[in-house]
Amino acid sequence: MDPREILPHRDPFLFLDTIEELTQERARGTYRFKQDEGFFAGHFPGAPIVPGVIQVEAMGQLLSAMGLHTAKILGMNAVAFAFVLISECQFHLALRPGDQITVEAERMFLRGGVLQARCRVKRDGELAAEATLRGAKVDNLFLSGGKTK
Amino acid sequence: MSDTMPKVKQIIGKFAKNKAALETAGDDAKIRADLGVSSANLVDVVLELEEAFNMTISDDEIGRIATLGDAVKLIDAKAKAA
Repeated sequence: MDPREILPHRDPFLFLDTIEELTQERARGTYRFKQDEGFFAGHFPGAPIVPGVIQVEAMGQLLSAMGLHTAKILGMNAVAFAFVLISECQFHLALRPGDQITVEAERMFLRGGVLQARCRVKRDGELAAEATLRGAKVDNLFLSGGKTK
Repeated sequence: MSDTMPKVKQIIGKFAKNKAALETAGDDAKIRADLGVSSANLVDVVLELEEAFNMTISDDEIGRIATLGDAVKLIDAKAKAA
């Protein structure tokens, strides 16, 4: 599916091209880093490498998609799942322009509107990054006042 | 004070930013606003309470826990009903 069908994120800050699997328990998506991504100009000049935070963001967007999918099924009011915790995060590969990644998320728990999942980024099947991410459901992106619920 | 309160305080103490307030906190102390437990960590408190008191706390019940007293009352009620 097109991630824009479920996520509020848009270019230039949408780091999923497709979502191939989306259930309450797991999700999988893909993204190809374009040659002209804005961050490559400065990270680093002449030696472009995908910033680790962008990989975490890709994992977070998939987590958010999984949360929103679950919220829809359970009849919960949510427009996004905002990052509230990142832990056990490691980076294993340097990703470069043109690389295509697969992003995976496996639910650990959903309690009280808080979703936690173990997430992975892979390139050609090889682990590039991994993290445990926690997101809290947000009812309204513009009226939340910076607070997650 | 019930036996439950010290255990609840011990668990909340792992995640409370305002540990000084926790020492003197009573039933009315708000877990988030007064004790400084973040929304990110509230679920950790619930998971630890479930393990410590050997019970399951539903999402509806989580939504009703605002103060220390709320947590203690809920746990005592569930223990009595078990």
